[in-house]
Amino acid sequence: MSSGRFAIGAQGDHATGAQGDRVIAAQGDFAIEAQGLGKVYRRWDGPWARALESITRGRVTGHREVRALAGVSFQLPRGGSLGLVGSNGAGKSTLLKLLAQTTAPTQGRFRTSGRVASLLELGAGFHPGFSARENALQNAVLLGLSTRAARSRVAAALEFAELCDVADEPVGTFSTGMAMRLGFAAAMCVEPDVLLLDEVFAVGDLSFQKKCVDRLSAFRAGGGTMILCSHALYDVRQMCDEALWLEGGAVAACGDACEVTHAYAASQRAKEECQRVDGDSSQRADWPRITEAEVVLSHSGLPARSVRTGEDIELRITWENPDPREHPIQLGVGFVRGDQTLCAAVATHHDGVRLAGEAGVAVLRLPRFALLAGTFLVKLYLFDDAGVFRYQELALKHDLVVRGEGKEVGLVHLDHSWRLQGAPEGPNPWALRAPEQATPTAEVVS
Amino acid sequence: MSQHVPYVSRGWIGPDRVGLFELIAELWRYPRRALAHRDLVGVWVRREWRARFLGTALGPLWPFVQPLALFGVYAFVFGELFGLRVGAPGVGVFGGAVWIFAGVLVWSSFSECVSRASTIFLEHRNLVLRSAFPSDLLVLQPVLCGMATLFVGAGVLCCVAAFVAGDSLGWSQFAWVGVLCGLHFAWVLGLSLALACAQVVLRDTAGLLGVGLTVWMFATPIFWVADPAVLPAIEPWLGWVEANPMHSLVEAWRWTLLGEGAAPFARAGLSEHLLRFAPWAFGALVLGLGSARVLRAQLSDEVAS
Repeated sequence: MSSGRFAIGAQGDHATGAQGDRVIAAQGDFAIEAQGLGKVYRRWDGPWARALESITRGRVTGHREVRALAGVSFQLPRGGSLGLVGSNGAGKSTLLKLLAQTTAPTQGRFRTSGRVASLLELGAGFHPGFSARENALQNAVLLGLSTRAARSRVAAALEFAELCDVADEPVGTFSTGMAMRLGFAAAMCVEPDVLLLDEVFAVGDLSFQKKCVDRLSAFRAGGGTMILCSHALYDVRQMCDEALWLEGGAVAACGDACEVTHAYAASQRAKEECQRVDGDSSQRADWPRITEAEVVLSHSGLPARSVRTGEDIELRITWENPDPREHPIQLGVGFVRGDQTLCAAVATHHDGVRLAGEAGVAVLRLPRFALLAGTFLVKLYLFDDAGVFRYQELALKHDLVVRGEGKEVGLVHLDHSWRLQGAPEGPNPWALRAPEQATPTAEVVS
Repeated sequence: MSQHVPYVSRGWIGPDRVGLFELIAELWRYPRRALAHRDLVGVWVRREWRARFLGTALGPLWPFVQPLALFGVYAFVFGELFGLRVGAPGVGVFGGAVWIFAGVLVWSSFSECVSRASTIFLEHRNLVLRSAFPSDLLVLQPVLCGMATLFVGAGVLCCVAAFVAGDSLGWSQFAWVGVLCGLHFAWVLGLSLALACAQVVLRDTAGLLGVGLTVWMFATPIFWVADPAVLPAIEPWLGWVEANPMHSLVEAWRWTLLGEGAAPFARAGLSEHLLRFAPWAFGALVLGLGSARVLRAQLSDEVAS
């Protein structure tokens, strides 16, 4: 991995560019080449400040600047695929919008080779009153096809979207999934050289998602270049050869997709560590909050970081709610495995329990703790009354280590028993038929 | 691959720098861009036109029904009730209606164009923010639809005028229709572009425009006559009335569509009106194209904010 600048693929004859980056002299091998790309958005305090600045052509300024992207350089060869990862507001969408030319850079420059199609939003221009056929045609023309070419490809797009039966029905009568399928199919029928995707390829039901992924794979196999912006790191690893990790508008890392996404995931986990119970200082003062939480062993009442499967434990959560009338709250607890699998969760609103008053301690009793051996992040949530909005989401200071004593595998211990029956008599002991006579049984409860 | 590839960029793309040359160059770059994206513009215009009558029983007949109904109302109100007589004696109540209808057609087309265009970027926010296409061409949608409304209305008017007025309404000025259409288009496109850009920067523009258009309509001789012989009170204001570009445009259309039928109240000929109107049309076009060029690079940022 490298940082600050990104160069993938065959390096040709290099020269030094205006920003001091090494640049390719001949564009021939590259589908996209960016040098020191940056974008600064302007924010005004009010409409008059904005109008005044426009009228005076900047002589009177009343804006503040928000830097969304700074000094991003990379080269992507033809047929290459690049995943953009990063947290919200890192600049991924801004970079994609710059490359799609829906907005202009304020710094640096870039160039692209071949027809560029951007799928930043599927079906952005659909008219609900027009049929699927008409909307697909209009969408394809919007993406750069001539009317004649679009007309010849619309039938195939409708077939791909599995919407032939309703091709002449108004799109307004479609479900969201159907409209997105149509949007994807219409966009893909453009057959671009460079495709810019903003988390839009997984549309429709599972079988259609598979079709979309197959279509993108075919696009790539056919020599297409792709940039995919996604929060789904698995998708980035599967779909892209390389990845670019943006943080605060700058390149944090770039290189092999697996390495970069793993590094990014590790940084995200590290961030979560910082947001554990005693490290959360971002909470609004008038909002409810959790001030303390710990796991204790039920029999001794002592705090514990490590427990055994089947042991009786309790989770004691101290909370405060300055304004219970304005912010009635519910409490949730989840156990998350290292691979981010939510193994089990409970919540007061699911169990019909209310947290009344301005402060208190909620004790969650977990008799015969069922999770099997492993290390679990214990996440705590303070929800609103409906259990939807999260006032606070944090984790226990220390992961909970669960020790298993048996040889059970999996996530949880299942309360179970075995009932053994004798084999039925007859010529074929494997025949699926009820025994004519009750056979002796033995029961072992585990 | 298609033969027509408008989305292939050539060369480096960097921060947008707008100098005087770029502003002037828009005069030929905008038409070239529109031509390169003619299919897209065509799709938009057809879509807008069809969307107006989508789901209606009369469907494509509506563009003809509306002006005919309007004409009937004018004939009754101005011809029958107010006794307005224009043209040959045999024309009767229809002469005045035809004359007013010609003015209303031009005004309503103009008003519809600029009103719809002023909000076009915000109305198509999703497209501007999420799709890569020349956004400034969006303005052509209301402008061309407004022109189409005018042409349909003008067709209805010509048929009605020929039917009710016979020889008194002529086609002698019809040759000028090309020049007039060109100037009209430049005027409407320029103003529409300027207003659409202004609306993005200052969201009060559309509201102010609504008020302004009402005042402007009554300041333009559509329902009244700019002739002191008919309306003595207008004498001190004649200079202002004649400086109003919409006055020249309306009168030019009346001349073109009605020929001698427009003469009773006309203080100037067609060519004079066209000469008066041409600088306004050119000025509006320069203003509109210039505004769109200056705003182009920040359009999606401004629309998003």
